[in-house]
Amino acid sequence: MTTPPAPSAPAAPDQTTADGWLPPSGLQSAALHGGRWPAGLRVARYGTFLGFVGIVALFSVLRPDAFLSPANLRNVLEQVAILGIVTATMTIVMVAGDFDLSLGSLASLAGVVAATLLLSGVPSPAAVLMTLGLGAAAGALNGILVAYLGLSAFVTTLATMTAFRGLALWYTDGATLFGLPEGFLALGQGRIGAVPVPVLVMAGALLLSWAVLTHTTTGRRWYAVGGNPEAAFLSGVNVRKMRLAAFVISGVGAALAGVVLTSRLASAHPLAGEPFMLASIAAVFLGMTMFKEGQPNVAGSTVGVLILGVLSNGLNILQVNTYIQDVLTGLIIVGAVLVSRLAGQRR
Amino acid sequence: MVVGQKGNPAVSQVTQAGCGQAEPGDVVLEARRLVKQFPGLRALDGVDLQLRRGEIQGLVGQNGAGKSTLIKILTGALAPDAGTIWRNGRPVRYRSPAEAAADGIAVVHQELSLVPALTAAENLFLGRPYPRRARSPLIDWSALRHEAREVLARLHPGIPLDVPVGRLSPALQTLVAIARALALQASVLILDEPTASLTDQEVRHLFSVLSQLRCQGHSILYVSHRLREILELCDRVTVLRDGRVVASLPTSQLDGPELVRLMTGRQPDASRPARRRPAAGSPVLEVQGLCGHRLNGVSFTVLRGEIVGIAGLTGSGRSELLRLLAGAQRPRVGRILLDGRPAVLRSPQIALRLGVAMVPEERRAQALIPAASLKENISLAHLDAHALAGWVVRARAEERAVRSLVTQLRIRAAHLDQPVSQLSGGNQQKAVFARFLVRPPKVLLLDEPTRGVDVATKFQIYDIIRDLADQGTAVVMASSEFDELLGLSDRILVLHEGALMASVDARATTEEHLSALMYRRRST
Repeated sequence: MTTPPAPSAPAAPDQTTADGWLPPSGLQSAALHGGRWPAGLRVARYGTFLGFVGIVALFSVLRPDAFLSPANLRNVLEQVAILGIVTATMTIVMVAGDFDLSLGSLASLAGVVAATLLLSGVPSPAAVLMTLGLGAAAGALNGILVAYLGLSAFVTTLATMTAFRGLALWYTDGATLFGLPEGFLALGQGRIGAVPVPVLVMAGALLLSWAVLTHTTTGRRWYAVGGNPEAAFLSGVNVRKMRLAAFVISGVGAALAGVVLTSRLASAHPLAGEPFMLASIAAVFLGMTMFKEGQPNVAGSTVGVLILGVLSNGLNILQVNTYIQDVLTGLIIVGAVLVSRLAGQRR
Repeated sequence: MVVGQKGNPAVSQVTQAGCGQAEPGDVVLEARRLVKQFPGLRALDGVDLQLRRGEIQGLVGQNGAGKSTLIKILTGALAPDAGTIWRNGRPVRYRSPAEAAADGIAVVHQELSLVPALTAAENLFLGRPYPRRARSPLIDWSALRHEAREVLARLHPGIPLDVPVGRLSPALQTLVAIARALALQASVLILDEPTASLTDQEVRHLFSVLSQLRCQGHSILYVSHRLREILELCDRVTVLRDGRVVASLPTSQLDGPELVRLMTGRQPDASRPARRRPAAGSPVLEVQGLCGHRLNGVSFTVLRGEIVGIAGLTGSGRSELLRLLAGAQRPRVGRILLDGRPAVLRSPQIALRLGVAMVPEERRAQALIPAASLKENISLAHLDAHALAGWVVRARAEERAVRSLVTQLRIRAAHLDQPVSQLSGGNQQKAVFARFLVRPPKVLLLDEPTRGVDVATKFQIYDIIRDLADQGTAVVMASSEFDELLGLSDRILVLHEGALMASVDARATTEEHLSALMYRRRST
């Protein structure tokens, strides 16, 4: 690199070397190494996490015997496993700037399809794989409509949500499918050591999406697309492909959740997956309040899932009316988002 | 006009106050010893400012000097930590921009605060009641149009009333925004970079409108990076540096180099970038008969190490040409050759792979991922450069590459993980440059590379561009700043209504010649 003969800039004092683009000033590079978040921001980042700790502490104090027992804690994890799987992939879709309302009914449909395949004698591994394939195809349908045909994610997934639900209800005529083979039930009810298999599947799904989102080029591109699609496009990111891929993955996640749920319940009901869609969006939003400029992130989503799980478990132990539980959950979500917003504004 | 607000003396006593060299009027807006502290930054450190009736006062300073903070405090968007604001001799404390507006102080922002889908007439009535039919809740559209026409005609006869303002040119949008301030009976106008997207001729018109407003007794605080415009238009210039007023002088006592010295605290060598020796490499980029929506059969060649400037009015096809070359838009007809081989640039992804990169015009809309960190923003375009198997990002390698670019380009940030939205405009622009230098491109396309960037950073960016060209990169640079085009380019191509009008040697041409070429065949 050579400096042009007559550097014309209003010469900066430390611009004196002949080395072209300016040497590092000691001060600046020191700052680059040691940078940290300002204190106020750090509190905002951990507010939701502290809230989670607070909830756990509260239940521990109120009912130490029942709440803190190992059996109950394992119970909590088992209860949130399905939600955790759905949330792992919902996080990815939301990172890419979209969201997927069809996840819940797709999970139900996947359960129905898996049960039907099993009942007609298809071996368990094949049935599971075929169901995951169906999930991918359904996700691709969403993705093509949104990314390539330019429909809004809201309208598209609202429509497919309705259609998937209709398919599941039509096929089963609203009835529950029973009598699934023993081997298949291990997926939802078995244990490896002391850990229930669904918890392991959840941990795997969360870990995988965390690794992909934070350590791969794919994850970075998803964040770029969600942050500013035009800038991502002009920086050489294939925006359509990335959005499509996110939907395909969320379809697979929903199908996986549906399969595990069916195995756990030993039956497939055409509406079994419905509650998970809103809960997973809530979990991602709770997680967004924790890190990184309010972007969706897996660590946060995981805490979000745990908050919802602990809350419902603890309130059950305290024998709070289930309907009131919903009210409390809603209040807590609004509260968490509100607190992080107010903390953010003070910056 | 059916405006409910208190009549205000500045408007009713029109015509007598200071036209041109007349003596200054009373102080209408004053800031005394304003202090504003942000975490880790004293944005304002005892700022005094006096704005008089019938005065156009320039406010200049580098990015981060405190201009935006000062404007926000004057208009009630921020509260000062210390100090007071006086309006017509009385202390005031505005709690919101709406309160300031009600007291006759209006801001016209860089990003115009118009609603693009509404017409000019409707935009004028935002923030105040629409005229109603007698004893009915229905809008009296004809009265609304009548009033709107009256206000707009004061500024420009050609503003259509019924077209959504989003479809008007940036110049007309600026005028509509000013008209709205006037319709709200504002006597103090604060204009923030009003000419950022205007052509020379549009700037002329705006200036004549502003001078006219000055004659009618309005006071204008004019904020701009364009020093020549400041010197031409303003009666007085106030210079901010690091949160303090370093000078507030009549324009007659100032010139360009002096202003730069005051703003930067350093001695400028020249007001435009120094020239380099002409390039004489092999052709890297050949464009043959390129057509887009506006562009109509453009052909030219760029040599290795050459800097080619693109001059042209807004709408001449400048930006489209760059978008076509960057793969962001597909040409209708025409060929692009890279190193002599035909290249089909189907997407920016493919263009980048072939070594063609573009720094787009709108930093915030087209370049930055605001929530992402400085590091993530820089490595976005060439993530695979430091990824295993093109997929797993190697954190150390990435950090090393990014840090060396940050050092090279002198990007000032607290640390690499700082959100890019927290950086100043100049540092953000350098980060966008850095993004495309992870792998030095064969062809670098620049669209207004120094827009909204402070003077010192501007010259750093010129050095970056020149260094790249010296290393063999072919640079194509569209700009509306003559100093930049004439000082940096080897050759300047002039676009006019989608056609290539001329290709001139930058050393053998003048500003006058260039603008004559740009306006050719225009009646206005």
